[in-house]
Amino acid sequence: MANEGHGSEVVPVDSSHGVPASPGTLVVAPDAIENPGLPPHRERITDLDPKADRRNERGVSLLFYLSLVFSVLAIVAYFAVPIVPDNPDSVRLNTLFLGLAIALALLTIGVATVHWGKALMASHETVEMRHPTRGRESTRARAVEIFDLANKESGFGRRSLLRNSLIAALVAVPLPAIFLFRDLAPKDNDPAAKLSHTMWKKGTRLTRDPSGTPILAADVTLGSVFHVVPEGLTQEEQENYLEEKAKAAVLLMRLKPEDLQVSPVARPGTTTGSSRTPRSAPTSAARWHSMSSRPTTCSAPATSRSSTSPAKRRSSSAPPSVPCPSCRSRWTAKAT
Amino acid sequence: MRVTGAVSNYIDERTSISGFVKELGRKVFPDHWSFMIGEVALWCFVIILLSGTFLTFFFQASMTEVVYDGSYTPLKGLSMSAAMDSTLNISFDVRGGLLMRQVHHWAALLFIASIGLHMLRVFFTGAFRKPRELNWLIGFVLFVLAMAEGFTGYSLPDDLLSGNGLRIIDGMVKGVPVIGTWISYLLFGGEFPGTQIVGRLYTLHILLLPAVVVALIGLHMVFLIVHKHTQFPGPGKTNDNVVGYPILPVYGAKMAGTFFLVFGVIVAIASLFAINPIWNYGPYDPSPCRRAHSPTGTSASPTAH
Repeated sequence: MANEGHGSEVVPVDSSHGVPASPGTLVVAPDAIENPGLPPHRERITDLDPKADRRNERGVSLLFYLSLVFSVLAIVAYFAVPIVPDNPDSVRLNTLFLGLAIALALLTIGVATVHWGKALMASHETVEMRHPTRGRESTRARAVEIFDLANKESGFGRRSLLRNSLIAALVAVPLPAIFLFRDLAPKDNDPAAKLSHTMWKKGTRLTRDPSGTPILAADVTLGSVFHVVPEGLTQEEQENYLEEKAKAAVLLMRLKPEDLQVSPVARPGTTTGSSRTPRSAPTSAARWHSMSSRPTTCSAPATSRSSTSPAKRRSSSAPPSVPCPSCRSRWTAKAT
Repeated sequence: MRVTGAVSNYIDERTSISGFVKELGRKVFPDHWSFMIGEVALWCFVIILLSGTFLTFFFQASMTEVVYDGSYTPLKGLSMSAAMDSTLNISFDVRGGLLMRQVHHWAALLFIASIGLHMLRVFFTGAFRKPRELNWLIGFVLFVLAMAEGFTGYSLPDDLLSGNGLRIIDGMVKGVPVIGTWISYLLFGGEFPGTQIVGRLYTLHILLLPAVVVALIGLHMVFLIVHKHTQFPGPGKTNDNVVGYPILPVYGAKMAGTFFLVFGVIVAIASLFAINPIWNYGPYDPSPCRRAHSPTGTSASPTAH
């Protein structure tokens, strides 16, 4: 910074001024402190005192030997603290003792090596000169010449027919590779069509996840929550269990109809792209307003209403006001 | 020393490596703690390679359904993928297996964290400016690749958390206009979750991505040598010099020591603090609603449950 009264002497960096400045510096103060040069080398205690030198040497060596001891201890721990079948505590102890012994064996080497470098190795700083990253002018000229020669000798620039046909061929040559990836997924399938349908059909009974037992409507009290899958979606009955469950799982809540702010139901088939698939099954909520003593059935059309556009519905309807019994921490009950 | 001389002579007569040593053996490294952060990232990567190689010997990247019959009683008799089963075996039936899993996971976290800090150092000291722009870009690509490694690795055990993470990715992929549904279909080899994704992510995680990361780290180091280090201003330091310690022996000793220190700290953390306890989460199932998460849990938003 320029001193008081010398502010006007702060000048823009410009080679004509002959003020040394690094590239990128906007302004330089002409009265900047001159670089005093490297400070005088200061001897360390280990340079001055042979006793300290010996002491440090012994300390470093001790650490190396300690590391050796810890390595042996790690091997001992491997056998002495084994994993006992059906006893998770033994895993904890095995991990703890084996890990700590290995950690200490490594840390002692680390501390000793760094201390050796800092306290006992030659401490004089050295200076290396920087050079511009770009090559020397003669080198650059020769490189240009070589490219010119290559161009002339190959005819790459002159024979444009050859060059352009080569470019055309190179553009086309990776194309088969793209098609080779088609069979990453099964043949003869339309994913969009598959994703448009879940296991839910008109009249499908609602069953508990994961037991598959039907849900009695009388059990569905106000404020209760059920993890629901369509009847028949169990690991035993359904070959594509996870795939079907990923589409068909439903979180069922019973709320008072007057607490609900019902949004217009999107017509099935009018949604597009990602919204056709539930982003995460449990977010979709099946709702119904009447109940009887018969087992509950699904009133959703073939394309489960619960799976259409959860985002749209969420934006216009009130948030779920009932805590989920298995994740209370996530949703807080709304006082009504 | 006679042995060293003979060995050096043998190698040099076949490689002319003496020129390399002459040029780089006394390369000067300026001394500042902030220059150590990038080094920590480098050593984290080495530790990840070492621990990850150990894990590959036991891990089975397959979604074949098996019935768990290992040492962890609460999950016995549950059907799960071979990937989850082998990860549980690494944790409960291989001595030191859980330690190696946790070293791998903690080192991966420290890798990302140190890359982030290293980038902040480079950014705020302006060390990305000419002639170092390309190296900054290489570093940025490395950061993205490290996160890709993290994601692919996170998904491999096929536990509830990793499945939820994959479900989020599946949703994002399906959300890509026009081609999203097909891309997801091809990626998962059918409908989500399918039986292919773990094997495919495994190829990316242990072959393709590490190969690119190793190549880019090599290039990063070459540029570091070509450009030489930046340095903080100080007496005797100018724009035309580098003041510091030569790599042989002082800086080399410090770097090697740093490797052992970083390795030691990570192993100590891994032996004391559990990370990603997949046995608490159980095998993947699209519907469960859980609240237990690791500190790195990705699906912490209520809508993901």
